[in-house]
Amino acid sequence: MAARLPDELVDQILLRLPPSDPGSLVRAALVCRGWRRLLSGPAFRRRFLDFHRRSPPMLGFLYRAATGLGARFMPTPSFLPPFAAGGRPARWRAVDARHGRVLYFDGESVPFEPVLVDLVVSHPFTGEERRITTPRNFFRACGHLDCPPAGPFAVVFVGTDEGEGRTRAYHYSSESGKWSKAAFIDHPTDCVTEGRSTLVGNAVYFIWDESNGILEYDLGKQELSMISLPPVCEDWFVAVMTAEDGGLGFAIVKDFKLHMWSRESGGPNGSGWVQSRVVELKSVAPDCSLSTLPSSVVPFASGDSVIFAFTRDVGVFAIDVKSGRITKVCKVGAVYGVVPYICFYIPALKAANGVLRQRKIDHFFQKK
Amino acid sequence: MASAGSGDEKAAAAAMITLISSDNEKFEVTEATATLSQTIRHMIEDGCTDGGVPLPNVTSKILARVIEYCKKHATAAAGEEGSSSSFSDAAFLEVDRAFLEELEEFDDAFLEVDRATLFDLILAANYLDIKGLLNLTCQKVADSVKGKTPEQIREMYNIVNDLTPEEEAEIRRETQWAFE
Repeated sequence: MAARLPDELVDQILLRLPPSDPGSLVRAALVCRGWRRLLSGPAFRRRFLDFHRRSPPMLGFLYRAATGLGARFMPTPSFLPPFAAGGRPARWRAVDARHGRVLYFDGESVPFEPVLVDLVVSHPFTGEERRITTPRNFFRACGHLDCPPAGPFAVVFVGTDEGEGRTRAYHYSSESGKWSKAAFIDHPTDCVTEGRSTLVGNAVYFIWDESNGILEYDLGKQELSMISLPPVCEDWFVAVMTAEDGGLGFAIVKDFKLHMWSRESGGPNGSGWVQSRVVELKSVAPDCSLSTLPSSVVPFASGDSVIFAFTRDVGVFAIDVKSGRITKVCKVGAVYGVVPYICFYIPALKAANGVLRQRKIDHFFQKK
Repeated sequence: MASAGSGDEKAAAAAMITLISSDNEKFEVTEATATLSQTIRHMIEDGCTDGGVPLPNVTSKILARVIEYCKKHATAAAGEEGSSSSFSDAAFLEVDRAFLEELEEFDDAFLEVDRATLFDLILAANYLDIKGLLNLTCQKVADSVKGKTPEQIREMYNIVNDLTPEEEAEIRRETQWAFE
């Protein structure tokens, strides 16, 4: 091939190796010196990221197999770097993951008792780990990790004190090492749930357990507010997410269809909801028997097509909402607390002295 | 698309371009088909297509394939412009999906060629600057490499291994996870 195709075209081919399979880059670098030279340069690394920027890969996901068991990492079939198998303490529950970092709750959830948790932010590639004491214990709590690709990170911790009927939000900055003052909202009949949150613009959104709404935490103003959902969501599990237009959106699974909605900022009523897409699950998943359709939806955006992984008794599935394709990503049944792990992992390939080395801490990049 | 008016057809017929392969075969194509190639588009813009466009780097066999690709995708591009697709409109979504599926099937069938032809298509797509075709063909090669061992890749593409055994051993030792 080297003789037939000039370097620039071999390079075009290597750029198209899948970021979801970092091993393919290593194997390609072993083909010959020419390929290794192309793959090991920092220029290739930059262009590889650039080429795949719109669709960072899901390298796997964190989950719990059962209550009382720690968070496990399920890699995508082709991705098995050393850390994938690494054990995590049984008390750790993955709550969020962004740009390679994972936010865990470390603590036990005892019925009728306030949750005693520490937060742990850890990076499996770099070994970075920080334990953060929460400002207050809650009956129900949720966390959100916010970090740019490198450098400092922030955590938003939200909890409800059911006795008071008050929900509070705190904002932690890794730079200052301090929590903000509490923002609060009084909503006696409701509480936050430990589910996926999402960052849209300069606000983080959490799911409200009982009422038909979403809890908004404005990062700039450090204020909590409540956003009502359309009546159609009543009694259905709502997954909050980034809509296709980049604004706030959500999805529900109802009548064997995935209904996706987005918030119209300039609409007649200021912030009305519009249905943006309906995906027929029956037709894309003929093998899904009707009685076992998803009970929970975990949305995550991966590039152009928003993909949903959802759990049910027999495994975890991913739905590509554009193609309607549905794939089984995990055979493990009855998994809980699925947190998709999405980031780039580019093995550091060194060409110095004709020897290829992989540093202990692999070079990796992620993007927002 | 079928709904295109006869006026459009006339206009298209008026703007035919002649492409001349390296073995001197002539191909008449519409401007819409030809301008999928940025190289040819620039030549048209510069007004140097009278008397045909000589393509000394592309054989008639490969040019015929390239034109087949461009014809199909030029139609697709026209179809996309014609439909004002909107997510909320299920009917349009269906049309779009059917159209995309057809195009995908075409692309899959188009790529059913031997490796020598595939490389010739890559070279032609690069020379003619047809982004879609370059992407399609390079992706095909990348996909064929996916999941393969270095030995299998070398065998597939007749690549000589010029790494020393020591170099290879070291790489493998340090990136063991990639081979399990």
